[in-house]
Amino acid sequence: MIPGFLEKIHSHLYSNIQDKTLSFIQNEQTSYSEFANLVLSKYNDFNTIPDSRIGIYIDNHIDVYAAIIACWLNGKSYVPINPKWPTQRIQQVCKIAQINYIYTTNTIYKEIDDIQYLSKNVLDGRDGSFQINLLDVHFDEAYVLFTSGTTGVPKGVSISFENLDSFFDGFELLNYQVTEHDRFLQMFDLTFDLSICSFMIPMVYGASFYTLNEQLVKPLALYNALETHQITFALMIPSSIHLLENYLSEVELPNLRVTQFCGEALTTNQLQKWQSCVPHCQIDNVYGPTEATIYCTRYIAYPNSNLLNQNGIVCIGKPLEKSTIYVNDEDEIFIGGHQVSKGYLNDALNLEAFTNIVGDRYYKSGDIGKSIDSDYYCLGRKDQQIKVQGYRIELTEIENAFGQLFPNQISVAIPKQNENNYTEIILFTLVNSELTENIILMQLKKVLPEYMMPRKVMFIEEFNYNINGKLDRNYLKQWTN
Amino acid sequence: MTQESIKLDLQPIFVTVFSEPNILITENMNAKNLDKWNSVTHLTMIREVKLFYNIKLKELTLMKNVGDMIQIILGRNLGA
Repeated sequence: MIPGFLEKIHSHLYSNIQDKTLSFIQNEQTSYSEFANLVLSKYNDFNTIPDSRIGIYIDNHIDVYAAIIACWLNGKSYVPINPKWPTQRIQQVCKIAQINYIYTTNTIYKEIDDIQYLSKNVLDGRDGSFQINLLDVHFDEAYVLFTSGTTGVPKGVSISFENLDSFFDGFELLNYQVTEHDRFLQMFDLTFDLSICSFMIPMVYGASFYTLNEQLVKPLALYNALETHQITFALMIPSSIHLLENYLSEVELPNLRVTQFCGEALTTNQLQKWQSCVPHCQIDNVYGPTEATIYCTRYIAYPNSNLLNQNGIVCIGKPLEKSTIYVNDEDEIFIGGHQVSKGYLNDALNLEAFTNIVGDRYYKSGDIGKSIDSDYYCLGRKDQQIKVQGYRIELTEIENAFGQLFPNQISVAIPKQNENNYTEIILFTLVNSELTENIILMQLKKVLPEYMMPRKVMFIEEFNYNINGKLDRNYLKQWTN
Repeated sequence: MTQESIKLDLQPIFVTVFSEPNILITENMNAKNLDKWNSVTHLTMIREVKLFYNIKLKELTLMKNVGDMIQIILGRNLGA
């Protein structure tokens, strides 16, 4: 059966809205008809490859998006690979995903054992004047995304066309009234599944998407994209608000009608800051791990209404149409339904990560949650939950307490084993001439119990963000040593 | 306001932002040829220039070097 979302994309590429702009990437505008030609130039070559998976070296280039669609129209799965990864990691990924071919727009080819490159330069010259027939295509796996594994071996999450179609069915029922006039922000690296939402949804609705200008420093690139391209629909991570922190007073985005936050816990403090910048805009908090296809719950933060939260962390709302959520006795969030992946390519991990409950398959998210009046809350990671003096502590609770006391400062709480093997908490925050360790600890003492108090406050010049724009906690862990 | 007077204004801002008492700004100075010009100092510099000249952020986002910055300030002044 042809996935509904792909049928819609196909119809937009080859029928009715050909002159319309699809994308604006690095100052280059591409129309739907130009994109259709780019897809066709790859489609035939991909079709001759017997493999069901093709690796794609990611690059902020329209050809990469065209390669993804060419894979899908062939019923093949794509595996995004960042050419900047160490060669050993690329080799691991290719081995686990059994990849023999990698598509690249780049002229630099890493020497990877048994890999053949499909080069943009070669494929561009191919004749694309033929019809794509979706009826005879078998649609199984749509993509594989690799995430870090605790053993050091990357985990390959396999997402099927059915998973993705279920996500789009759920998205449609969220009733955003997306039209071809919408302009989407695409700020994510293509190895991050939020990117799929940011470029696929505009394609499904015949709308357009805009990426960040890589020549600019990230906060300015984000501000510039939102402002210059008059973005109407932005999926962002909460750290984006930190990035824009110094410029929020100047943010004027009258065209922005929907902002979705995903990928990290959204705090009430962050949400209120963004609400005050874009008071006319619908702001939603969406939640979901890669294993449950992009996101699987949504909460609408209506302005001037009771903002549902737990300890300053905004509610994640209710499941999408084809997802189910369950919180077990140990407060772990389990996700079921049609968006849940069939599993990791690394079979050994599946038994631990997926489980059956009364005949239904669930993914054990590793997130701590709770449900109140049929709304769900994600309160942090199980692995960010620590025990101090026998007390169970959510590190995010300390960060939120800090955020309430010092709204313009961000902080990160990191556990550290001291010389006596007891766990202590170190709180990191940015250098601020008006703040001292003493002031911070005195204020925190008023709101936190003794066992939650940080042992030390460390001031740093800047926080590191990973390639997906999320705050890099592992980098700070090194500091504690 | 002239190109030279803007350079004179910017000089102490650069001294403070880059903590370089001997820095001497030139039009083609940018992140590639000044070691301390990184994402953090870039943002700090923009904030300082914004405050000094009361410029909107959107006017400064595409600035890539000192020459661009001077032209933006000059253009804004001419247009005022």
